[in-house]
Amino acid sequence: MGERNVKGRFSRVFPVVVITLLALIYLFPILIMISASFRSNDQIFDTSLGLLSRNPTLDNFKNVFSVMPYGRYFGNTMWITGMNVLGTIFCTPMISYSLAKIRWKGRNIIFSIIMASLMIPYTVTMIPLYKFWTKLNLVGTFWPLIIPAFFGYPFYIVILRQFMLTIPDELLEAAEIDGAGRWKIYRTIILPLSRPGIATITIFTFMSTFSDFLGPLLYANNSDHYTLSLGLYSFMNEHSVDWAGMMAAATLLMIPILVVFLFCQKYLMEGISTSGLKG
Amino acid sequence: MRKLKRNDGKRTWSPREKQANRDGLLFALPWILGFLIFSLYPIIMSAYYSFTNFSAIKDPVWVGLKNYRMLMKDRLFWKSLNNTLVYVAISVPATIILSLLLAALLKAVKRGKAFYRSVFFLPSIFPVVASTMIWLLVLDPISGYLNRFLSLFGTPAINWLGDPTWTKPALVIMTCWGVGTTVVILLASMGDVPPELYESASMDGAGAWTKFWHITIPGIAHVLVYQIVLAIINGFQYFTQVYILCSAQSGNLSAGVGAGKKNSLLMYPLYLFQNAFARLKMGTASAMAWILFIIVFVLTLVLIRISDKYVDVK
Amino acid sequence: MKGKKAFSAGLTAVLMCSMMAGSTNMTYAASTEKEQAGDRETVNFWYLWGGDEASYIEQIIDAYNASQDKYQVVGLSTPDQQKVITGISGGNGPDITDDFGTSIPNYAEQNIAMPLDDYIEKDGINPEDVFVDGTMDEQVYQDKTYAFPISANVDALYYNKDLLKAGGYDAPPKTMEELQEMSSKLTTVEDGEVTQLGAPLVPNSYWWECMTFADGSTFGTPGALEIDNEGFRKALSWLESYVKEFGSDAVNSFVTSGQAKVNSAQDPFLSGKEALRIDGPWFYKMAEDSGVNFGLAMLPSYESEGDKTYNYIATSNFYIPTTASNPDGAWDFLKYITMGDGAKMFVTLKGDLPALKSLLKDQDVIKASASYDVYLKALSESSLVAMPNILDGSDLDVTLTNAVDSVVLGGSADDAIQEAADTASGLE
Repeated sequence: MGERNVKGRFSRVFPVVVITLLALIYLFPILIMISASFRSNDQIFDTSLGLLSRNPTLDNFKNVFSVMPYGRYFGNTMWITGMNVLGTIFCTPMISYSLAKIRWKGRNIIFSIIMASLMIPYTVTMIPLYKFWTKLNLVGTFWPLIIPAFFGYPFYIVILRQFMLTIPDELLEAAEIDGAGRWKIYRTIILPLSRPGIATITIFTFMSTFSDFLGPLLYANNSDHYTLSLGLYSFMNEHSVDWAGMMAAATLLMIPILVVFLFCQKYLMEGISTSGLKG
Repeated sequence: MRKLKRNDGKRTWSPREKQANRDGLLFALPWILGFLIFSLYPIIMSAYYSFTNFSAIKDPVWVGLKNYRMLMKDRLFWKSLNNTLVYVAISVPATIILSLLLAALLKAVKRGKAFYRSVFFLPSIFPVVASTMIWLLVLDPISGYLNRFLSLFGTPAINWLGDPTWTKPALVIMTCWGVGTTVVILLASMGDVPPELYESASMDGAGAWTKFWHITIPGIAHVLVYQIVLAIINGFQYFTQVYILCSAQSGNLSAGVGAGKKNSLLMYPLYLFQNAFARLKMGTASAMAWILFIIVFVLTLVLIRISDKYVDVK
Repeated sequence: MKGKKAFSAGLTAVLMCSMMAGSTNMTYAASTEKEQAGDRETVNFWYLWGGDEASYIEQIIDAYNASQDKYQVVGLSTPDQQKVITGISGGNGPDITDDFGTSIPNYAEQNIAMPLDDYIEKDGINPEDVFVDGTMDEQVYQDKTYAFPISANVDALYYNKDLLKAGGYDAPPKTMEELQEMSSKLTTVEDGEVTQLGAPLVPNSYWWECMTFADGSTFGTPGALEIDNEGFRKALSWLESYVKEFGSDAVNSFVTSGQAKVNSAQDPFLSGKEALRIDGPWFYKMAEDSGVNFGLAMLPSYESEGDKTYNYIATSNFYIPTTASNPDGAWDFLKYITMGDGAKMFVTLKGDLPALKSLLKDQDVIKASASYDVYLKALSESSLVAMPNILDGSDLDVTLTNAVDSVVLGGSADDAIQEAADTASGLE
């Protein structure tokens, strides 16, 4: 009896201890960033201070605004992110609906191509696409980073398709008997019922676009079109790196992501646990 | 016409089916168009470019297999392929095992689950530029936090990013920090394993390990395979972190080529990128892209074949 | 349900934000168009400098715009070389931009930089007369001129007076042999960790070029590279013995860590942990600000060379891309910043060394930095050696750096040179 109790308590406490330790390790780099953003440049590498700072300062944050046009970069980032979210919300559900709930002859072929296209490394398409946008004279604008979202990304299509598979067919059949067309079914049944799934892909789109580096690196070819992610580069000079400034900028950059994440994490988790992400 | 078709042995479509065919196609049209423009066209073009001498400004000139032949003789090509293979070989098992561990722990935790989940998920949405710079601080051989921590156990200082033998483990550590998405997905799929299985196993006196190995793992096997495939694909595309590390380490953004001591940070996609945009050898870069495509494709197919044998897909 | 509402409210907020951001973009686009529609022609100028250095460039641009009324130069800080190149190849790059001398052959070959010969001839300029000897070499490829130099950077020896004194020296090394000997004497290792580095190994560039050239050796000429030259061999052999003496792990850790912190407040020299340092003129102000008790000297050469001194010269330059939409305006600004008042501003503000002959004796320039005593002397008296002006210049640089690294990692000088020579034989 007693032994069992001890064992039971151990198996309850042990995971908590381990996971708390691991959580601390995972949090640590973020804490380093925050602490570094309050330090002056001469203390950045001073690990003997731990996570503290001698004479904490807000200067780095002030510097951020003078070194990079934060407002403009934020605006650019939000514009690209917002349009990507819009494109994803607008198009992905339609495609997923077609693959999940309409029995048509090309369905299986299309689905296998989508699965296969998950395997294409971006490096294969990078150069021709760059050339493609060059020919359209759109390099140096935001469009190469926005337009593809309106055609659906395979990863998100697959997630949402799996999600829609869980919607009972009877619902759709009943609507069909009532004479509803597919567009009406899509609007009145599919879309409302897929909300958690759509929420999941929305959040994924937001997160990945907001912090995307390679896309803007390739296509935003002047600093008017820089995003926050690229803007962090402004802290690297020809001969040195302004560490404190960069950390402060990174901290500021984390805030919108954190807000969106904390705000949506419930839906994200709900979406993941009900959607096809898990298989 | 209609009759002819029927006589060809094609199946007849009822009006309802025809309507479905039309609607299905219409709804899927955006992706089909997107695929043609943003995937199929570039794939074909990159195959064509790989047989040409091509810089972004000048027009491509057909050179046959020259790019491929040059690559076979190029030391840096082999070095970068080797770097990436080593990285994938360590990072895929490491991240998958770690994700399983974290997911299992999260499942066992009763209180504060949302908090822990957020903590593990957070790094995966961290902007790469920022996180890479932070890792430079953490992994510094002399004043880095990690070496300082290890020295508590008497471990001699490790030159994580400066010693070619340690660069890959260092990159894997960085990758392990970003496993959040996988953890969350595995956690969700663990929730789908029927609880009755665990109960009956408990009654048979099975321990935690036995349950994990014989119930959880088979229960989430199909998800696991999918995650492994994704990890491999991502591993072969590992680029941004090394790109930033190399810029920051050289302390000079103008150093367009080269990557770490003895090219130990020269990952395949980085070398490809340098060829395309620093050396302006887009033909060579396209050939590299195709070689990568084939490697990833074959590996994925083999993996799926193997898993089909052992994993009962739903 | 409540949660769902909150979610859609949040989503709407995100979209609204992005719409607003979009509309500010629109107004911005409109305003640049207006600028172009004005009386002045716009000249887009992208430069690789960031931070403080960018503000100096903006001052020069303002001065240029005020000095004439035909062109309006619009500057953009774009601190990534590859981004400039992708911009140019995408057809909407700048009208004029800066780069390094070593890039010119590649840019000429790939049709990125425009030949300036027609302009030069039209304006009757003889660049060899105007610019410091040797600085034009890097701007010319296959008899065509593609760029004008803006700065001619040579190196000098910084030494920490306190550390030298503690080691029993009261003057900087007079010869390369002495420098190498001092390097060992001034290095201290505790518990397998270098606590004070005597050798000038941070930053990982400049020192090995200078040490190679210090006996008159060079890396050869295009088509006839000489990787296995006397000077490089001496430099790497010395490095090999130095690394053996203090341990590869210890030296390598110090160099890696120092390299990541280069020119920051924790830079090993600036924090008093590096006794000798070979670096460019921009380092002087940093050293001054750090409070380190330091001195500056000409680079020593090997004893066998007597009074002769050598230095490693590398130029920064300006060129006009082939895709420039306003090459005439770009040329006008290029002349202003490389040959006109802009050149003087550039040198005095930024602390680079002038590539313009007339500035070498200019009192304002000489007074601009206490370091110029040494640097200007080096520029006018030393034999200046550049890296071979080859197509794969950056690959050559990486190859040689790798050779140095492999000796730091404990390899032998012979193997490193052999491998580098093999690799270099495949370069164009």
